[in-house]
Amino acid sequence: MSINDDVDAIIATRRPVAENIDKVKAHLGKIYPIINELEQKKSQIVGTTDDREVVRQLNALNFPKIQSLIMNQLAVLEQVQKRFERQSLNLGVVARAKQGKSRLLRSFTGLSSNEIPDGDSGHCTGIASTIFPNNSSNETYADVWFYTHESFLTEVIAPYYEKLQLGSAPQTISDFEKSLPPLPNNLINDSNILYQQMYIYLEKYHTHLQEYKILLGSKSPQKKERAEIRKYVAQYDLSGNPTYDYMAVQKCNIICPFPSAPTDKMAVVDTQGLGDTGVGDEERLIKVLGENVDVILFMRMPHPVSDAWKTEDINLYSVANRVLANHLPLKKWSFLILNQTNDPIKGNNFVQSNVLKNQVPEAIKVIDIINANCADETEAQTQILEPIVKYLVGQVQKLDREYVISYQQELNLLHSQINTELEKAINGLFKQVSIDNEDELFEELFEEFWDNLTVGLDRLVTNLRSEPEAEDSYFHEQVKQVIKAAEDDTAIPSDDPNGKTALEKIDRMISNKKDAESAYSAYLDLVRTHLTHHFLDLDDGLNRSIEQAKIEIARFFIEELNFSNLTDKRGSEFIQAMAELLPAQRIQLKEGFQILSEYKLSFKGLILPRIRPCLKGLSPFPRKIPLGATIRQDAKEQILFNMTALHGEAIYQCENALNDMLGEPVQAALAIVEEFKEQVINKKKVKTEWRLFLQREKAKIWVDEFGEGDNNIQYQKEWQDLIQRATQANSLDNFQFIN
Amino acid sequence: MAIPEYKITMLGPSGVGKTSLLTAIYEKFEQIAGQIEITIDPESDTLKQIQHCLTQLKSLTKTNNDIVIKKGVGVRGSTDPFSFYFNMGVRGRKPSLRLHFQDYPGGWIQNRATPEQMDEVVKFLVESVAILIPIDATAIMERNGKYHELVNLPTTVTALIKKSYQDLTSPRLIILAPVKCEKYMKDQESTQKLLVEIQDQYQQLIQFFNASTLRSNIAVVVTPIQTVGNVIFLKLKEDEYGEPNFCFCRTGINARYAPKDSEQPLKYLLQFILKLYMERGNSIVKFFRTLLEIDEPFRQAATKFAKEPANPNCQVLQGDKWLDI
Repeated sequence: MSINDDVDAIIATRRPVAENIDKVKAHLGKIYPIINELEQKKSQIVGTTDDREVVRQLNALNFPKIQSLIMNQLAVLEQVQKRFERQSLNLGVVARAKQGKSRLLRSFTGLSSNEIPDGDSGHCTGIASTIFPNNSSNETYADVWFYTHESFLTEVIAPYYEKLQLGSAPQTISDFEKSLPPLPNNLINDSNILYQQMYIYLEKYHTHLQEYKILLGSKSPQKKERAEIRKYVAQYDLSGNPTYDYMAVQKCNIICPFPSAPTDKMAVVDTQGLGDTGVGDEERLIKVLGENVDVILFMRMPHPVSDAWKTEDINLYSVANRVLANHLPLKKWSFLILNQTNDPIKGNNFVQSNVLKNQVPEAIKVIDIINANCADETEAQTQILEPIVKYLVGQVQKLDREYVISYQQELNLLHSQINTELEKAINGLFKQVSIDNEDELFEELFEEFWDNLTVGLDRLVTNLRSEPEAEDSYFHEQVKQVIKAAEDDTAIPSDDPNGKTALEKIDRMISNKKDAESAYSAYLDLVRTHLTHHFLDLDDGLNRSIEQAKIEIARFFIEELNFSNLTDKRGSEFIQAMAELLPAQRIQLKEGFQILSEYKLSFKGLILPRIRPCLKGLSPFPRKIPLGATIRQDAKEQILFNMTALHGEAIYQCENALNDMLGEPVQAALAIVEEFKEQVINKKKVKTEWRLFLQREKAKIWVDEFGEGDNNIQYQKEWQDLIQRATQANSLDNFQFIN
Repeated sequence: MAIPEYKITMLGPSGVGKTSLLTAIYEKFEQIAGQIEITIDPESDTLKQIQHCLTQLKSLTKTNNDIVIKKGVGVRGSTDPFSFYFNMGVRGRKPSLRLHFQDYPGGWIQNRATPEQMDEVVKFLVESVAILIPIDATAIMERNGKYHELVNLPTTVTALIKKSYQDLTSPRLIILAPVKCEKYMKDQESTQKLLVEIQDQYQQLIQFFNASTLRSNIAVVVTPIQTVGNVIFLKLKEDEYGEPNFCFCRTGINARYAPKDSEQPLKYLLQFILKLYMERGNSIVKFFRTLLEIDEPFRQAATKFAKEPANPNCQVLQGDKWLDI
């Protein structure tokens, strides 16, 4: 297998981790708003309850802290995910200015000082860029992203204002164009000259704004030819004159053929030399770099004459170690490069390189220390890049594993932090001060409830069953009305007072349809559909009995079983409310109430199949009563007669069919009540479900025994619902992103 | 020499369709007259009634309005008993036997009948070789038989027969003849449903015939008849007094009076009479001995006609042997 295949395999194994992280992010995204609701509910309860104990306990809850932990983790997850989404192995160099970093990157990438500037003339690299291998051609170009006005102000300018204590940062570019506030005296007099340097950098942004302003908000990314790249990445042009376009650049990806790299799946992340930015926040720079690379090269160019490890060398490593080693010890993914030079004027540093190599301080721990001439492309490739790639190919999956395990532990910790807070929120809160023998009392009341439930539902069923032949009088009445309406409103042509006669109308229809047979068919269709339409009105009557049964069951629960405090809903809405109120774990009970709540007889399902056969006589084909007449006058009369006769017959048959099913709504009501009874009484383990449910709701059902004030009952319910939702969302499973 | 006369009681209230039934039987014979050797001729009073009825029935198929039949309003609608006489014989010869169908007005067979009227009906029933019970099929089939009792008086009919047959020792034929069956004989399934309903509604009567003392002597047949043909039942509508109005309608502008299956009652009747003749040496038929003088040409012609396969819509409920010639 080639190195490329190895790297491909690494990238492929990383992808599922990235996908799992998406899921964890989504779950955290769900928990956050619930915690937010809890915080709001907490304030509401604290503001209204008289119960000091409750207030004390609520005040002990720190939801904002949980929220900020979640937000932090979301941000970190975002970074972690980047690592697993990368399509290349990335390498980054950390070095103080003037150590030959740019030179090394040029050796790696084959780019020139044009694209990776170095600076004998001061700080050079203007912005961070990532250099990707061009796998398809030999072209070199850059994709350049520009800041928008907003991102420029918040990401670039605002940090200066904050660090330099300049007051509130400008909100618009025009604000920034106004004169800069002066550096406060305390900072002018500070022994650390850094503040003054920073202020100079800010002034530079301010002074030259007109020169780069036009680029802010430009379409991004923009493809730039090789010759243009320098303009957007360097602080000086090739002649050494300062340029300012880079100030508008947010990000730059350079794509070029890495002429002699061991793999074309290796990208290189360039960054400003530490000290290049003006803001001087090494920590942030190193952190960003670390999040974007798989391996870090610390780089040091020994002095040809005399050199030793300096405090700033150790500090740089310490900073990196502090910000990057949370999940993976830096010593497992960093190298130290000692840059050997052989300058015709300054002389070579070979001796000092060896000295430094042998005296590396304890504090600096890396995989390996490499002496190599970074300006020499071959040496850079063979001495540096090849061993590093080899190491990565061999180790990176192990490192990834270590990385995610470490991060998973952090996530698990977050899970348990949320859990602890939720437990604090539920335990003890709203608890009745103290009831002696509470469990015994509950058991006694529960058994009484159970007896009432079983006896009561039996009674409901018996009542319904006692008149099994009973017709639904409301439905019967509605059937009568509908039949009457269908008889009166037929769509059969009739004589208009002072207007056309029925026969004239039929005559017109015959003319329209060209012949009497077609007119007859048209009337049959018209009258049939008109008749069917009347029966749609039966839907309401059809469900009256079932609605009554639901209302009766609701009344039973509310009045006889004291469920009135569980919900404000009454009648059949109570049944629906119960179905929603019951937690998902109470499967049988929830289903029982759901089935009852959703049960409905439908016109289409029950009535239509009975009506359709009755309308056969009104179908044009086959004709039940043929027309037969040959003379138009006869045909007209025949059509009128036939329509009347067939319509009368159809109604008669519909009426019979409907009368045959007058008992069905009552039967259906009986059936659903029996089914409900089965579901909530006879199903296996359903008694346990009731016990657990009532245990939770006991304060509302047995108010005298377990209840508190009215407000508290409502709050308690809302609070418990929120906690329950939060607890469900906070399931440990939802936090796992390693398989 | 007087020809033998066979009495048949028609048992059913006014309006149920007795005259129409006889008319349909006669009309059917007229239709098939060319194909058979036997003849049937109404005597003059009977012929008047039949012609009057025929005019009315034919007019049914000429109207462009719904035909509404109110309960109790029959074709004849008289209050006196009426005897229908038909002479049967072989074409070109003198009549060989006389059929006497006796119709009693509703009042004579119901509770309000005088003892004399009641006795007369019972006497005639006992003397009859057969009872023809026309049954209005629409009253049984529509509205789940709600108007059956009102229209067909099954309880009265059953009670009368029970009273008459309590000491019966000789054979009899019972013809249950559902009429106005057009709607219920569309196909085999609906015909079957009709037959089941008839047996269900006359269960008591049928059980009575099936009792051990009567079973061997009584043949029971069901012969559904489309008394008009081309006229179908449309709907049943209660009028303002709650009385049922049965509404019919002809099946097309060219539809004609065309009764169907109406030869069948007469076929069974002839089978039964011929069987009695065959068994004339048997003591059990001595009750009819004086009647059993049938000339040979008629016997042969009648046998040929009666032996034709029975209409598949008809059912012999019991007593096959009395129909086996």
